[in-house]
Amino acid sequence: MNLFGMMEVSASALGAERVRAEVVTSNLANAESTRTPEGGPYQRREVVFGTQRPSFALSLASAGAPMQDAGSSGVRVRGVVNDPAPPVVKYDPSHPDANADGYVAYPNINPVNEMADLMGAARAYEMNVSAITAAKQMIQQSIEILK
Amino acid sequence: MTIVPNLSTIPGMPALGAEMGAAAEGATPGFEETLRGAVQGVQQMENQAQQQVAGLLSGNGQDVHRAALAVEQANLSFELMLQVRNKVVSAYQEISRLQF
Amino acid sequence: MSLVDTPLMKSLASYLDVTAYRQGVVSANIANIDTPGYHARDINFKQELDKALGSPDAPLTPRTQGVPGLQERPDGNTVSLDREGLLLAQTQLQFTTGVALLRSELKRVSMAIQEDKGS
Repeated sequence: MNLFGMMEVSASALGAERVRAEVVTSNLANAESTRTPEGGPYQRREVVFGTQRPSFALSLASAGAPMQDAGSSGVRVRGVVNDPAPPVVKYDPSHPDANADGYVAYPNINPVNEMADLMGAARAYEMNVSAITAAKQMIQQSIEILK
Repeated sequence: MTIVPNLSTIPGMPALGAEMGAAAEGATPGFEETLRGAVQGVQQMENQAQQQVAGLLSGNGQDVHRAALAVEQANLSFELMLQVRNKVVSAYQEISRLQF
Repeated sequence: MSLVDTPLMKSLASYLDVTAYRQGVVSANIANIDTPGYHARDINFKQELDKALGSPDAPLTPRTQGVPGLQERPDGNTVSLDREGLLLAQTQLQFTTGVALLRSELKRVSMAIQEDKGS
């Protein structure tokens, strides 16, 4: 696989991890949101990743080049989905969002889990930046062959 | 657009090669072969370099190091050919000085 | 007449090809660290290098394989950041070495061509 395509793969991961970080921060910010415009508490969201072939690989494949292989694909966000887990209910009749029985529905968000997720996203992001830097340096070194 | 200089654009090059070949043949057959070999080598290297660079530029998954190597080899080949030509010319001049 | 394309250059070019390819596989692994069900891949470097050295001008067709002995996390992913990070650095170093050797070989040929200029 050529070095430019490699950078494309790493760049796709940067985008994906960033989306993941955004979703996690949204979850964290809304951990206590009991009311949303749609009614009901904030629903925890999560990202779903999937592999993706870099675009040039598709054109290569159509030109009949032999080097195709699932091991060299980038990543993309397949979707941002709601966590189907039910909200956490607590008994608090004095709360403005309490229902008829005095229960308030809170989002099913554990800040500890979300923080771990965020750190994971940051670490993955950092690693992919290293990969891009490595590819960039390899290209620069190749150019130095020409003095 | 050629990145490596095309032989035929050098004024008088093909004619010089032919002349050298014809003249040197009488003196020493080795010169002609060597020069011809050098010229052919350059043509070959140059074609390869152009191919590799075109592949790189069109984003076909060509690797930079391959293209860079091919270009550098074409340059060296050209250098070699120049040196051989210089040698042939100076040898020819020396020999023709002897023929009184 | 390829006095200029030495066997060492051919070997180094193949070495660089395989090294660059491996870096691509490592990058893909790193990119997919959070992809559910993704299994880390690698190439058998020695095997692929031998193959490439055997036919220096043919394009590479390396086979990637799954990496044995990796822990699978609950989401089905087996990529280890530590392993990939190490490979990233190592492969980059290999590439740097290959380029340095190639440049020195080119310089050697260049000097051999220039050598007799004075006489």
